[in-house]
Amino acid sequence: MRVFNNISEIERDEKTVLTIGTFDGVHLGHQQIIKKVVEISKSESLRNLIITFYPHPRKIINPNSTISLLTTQDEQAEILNLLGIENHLKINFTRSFAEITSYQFIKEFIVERIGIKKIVIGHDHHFGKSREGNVDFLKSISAEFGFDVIEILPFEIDSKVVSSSVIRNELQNGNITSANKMLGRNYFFTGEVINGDGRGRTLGYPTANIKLDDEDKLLPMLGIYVVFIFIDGVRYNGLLSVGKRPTFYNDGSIVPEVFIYDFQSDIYGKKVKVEILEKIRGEEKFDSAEELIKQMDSDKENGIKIFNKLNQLNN
Amino acid sequence: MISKKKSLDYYPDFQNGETILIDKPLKMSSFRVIEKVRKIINFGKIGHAGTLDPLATGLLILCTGNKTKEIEKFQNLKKVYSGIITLGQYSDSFDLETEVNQFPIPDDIDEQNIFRVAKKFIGQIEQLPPMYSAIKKNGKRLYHLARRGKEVERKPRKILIYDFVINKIELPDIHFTIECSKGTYIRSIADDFGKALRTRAILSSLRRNSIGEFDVRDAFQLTELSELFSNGNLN
Repeated sequence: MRVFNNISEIERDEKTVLTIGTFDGVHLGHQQIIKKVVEISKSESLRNLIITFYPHPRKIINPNSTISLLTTQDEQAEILNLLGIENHLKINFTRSFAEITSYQFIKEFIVERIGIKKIVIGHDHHFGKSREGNVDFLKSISAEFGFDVIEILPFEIDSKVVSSSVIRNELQNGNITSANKMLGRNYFFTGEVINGDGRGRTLGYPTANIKLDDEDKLLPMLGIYVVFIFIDGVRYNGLLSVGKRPTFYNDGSIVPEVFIYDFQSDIYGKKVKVEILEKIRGEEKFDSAEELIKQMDSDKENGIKIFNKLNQLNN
Repeated sequence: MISKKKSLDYYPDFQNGETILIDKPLKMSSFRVIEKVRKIINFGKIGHAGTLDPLATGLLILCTGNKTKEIEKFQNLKKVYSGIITLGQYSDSFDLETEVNQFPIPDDIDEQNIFRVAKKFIGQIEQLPPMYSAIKKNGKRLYHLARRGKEVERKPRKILIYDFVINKIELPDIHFTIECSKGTYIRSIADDFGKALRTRAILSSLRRNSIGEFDVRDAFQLTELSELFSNGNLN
């Protein structure tokens, strides 16, 4: 996949099928759209292209709002590549870009500089100033510029519409299974193993403290989770704690740390990937270290049960 | 029942009574839909079970002849709507029907409070009907008074929200689906939603997906109904 960080880098080609959006998470709903783009590009010998925006438009439109993302730039690119996208244009979303009308965007950017034969778009996707750009708008100007509009209906799982905001909400409520189902994969984050305060070791549960590669990456609700952790490409079973460590601290900083089953090696400085599978419990404050250890013993047992269950499902 | 669910293999007896499912187009009043259908089926006695605002689309149930007596039965059914609430705007009618003004959106609004606020609407709640509504006060429709800039006291009504689901957030737009009892004003839900987030909001799009077990996917567009009755399929 070729990645263009600036619109001037991409050559104009009228034989292009494309889609536009933020595509945070590249979930199953997004994948319907992307697969259609790839399918058309193959069957009609067109160049395929996805146009995304960075940073997330909401950060620019409302700078004080916090938004945690399901996929970092790199993760998104990797998934798009796997899905068969050949060209990825990343448009820097600035205040002045937000002021461009949908008509201007289609005419001056898409038609005149990129070239377009077909556009695939989500049924309820809105873009451009005041979000006036949508399926109906594209259809109304398609004849003028000579392109076709292919509309993709909302994708539902268990009669719930799959969207990035819904998935973010599921993760923030600890509903991992539902989020993973909508993503079509296990939700994951990546980071570097850093020095912690060594408390886990003294409690009998050594953990790998992880510094996220991207601080905007969304972490699930505070709690304990069953995870896979990948170290040098090898998968291990683990328990993730997303917490403020309330038994010992009051500073409120959130640190992800992973206890790895049957593992002793020194992994400081290693890059790891953590896939979240299921929640065991929410975060609790304990009166003493002994009570915390008791709880961790039972978490460890519950984790083993969940891994055994997962193994059975996969065999 | 005239719907897409089964093919019409008889000529309907409009006098004895028929039920027709229509997908109301945008920018047409429910009353105007009745007039159009009246012409298409060439039968006069016809009414609808629950109006839709001109800017709403979706399922409208029409009854003819003796079936008009059963209209109330349909009115009492659960309704499901989907639509868009737009934050940071307000209007007298709570939708795009009257002039829209801007209102600041607090910086701290995030997806989490939006999902949280949505949950508070579920269950039995009290709702103040909008001034722009067809409710009568002293024999006068409220919207007649509203158009002259008058605001009168209204009684809150008890309504039941069975479910209120946020489908997608593209601030300032919030895409939702709501399942509610008879008498619920979705425009007022939008207005209350904005206020609960310490801003204002309007209903910028609305579609009725179903009334009871009747689904808009089985409803006819007016053009389709017109074709059905013009090409001799029914005789």
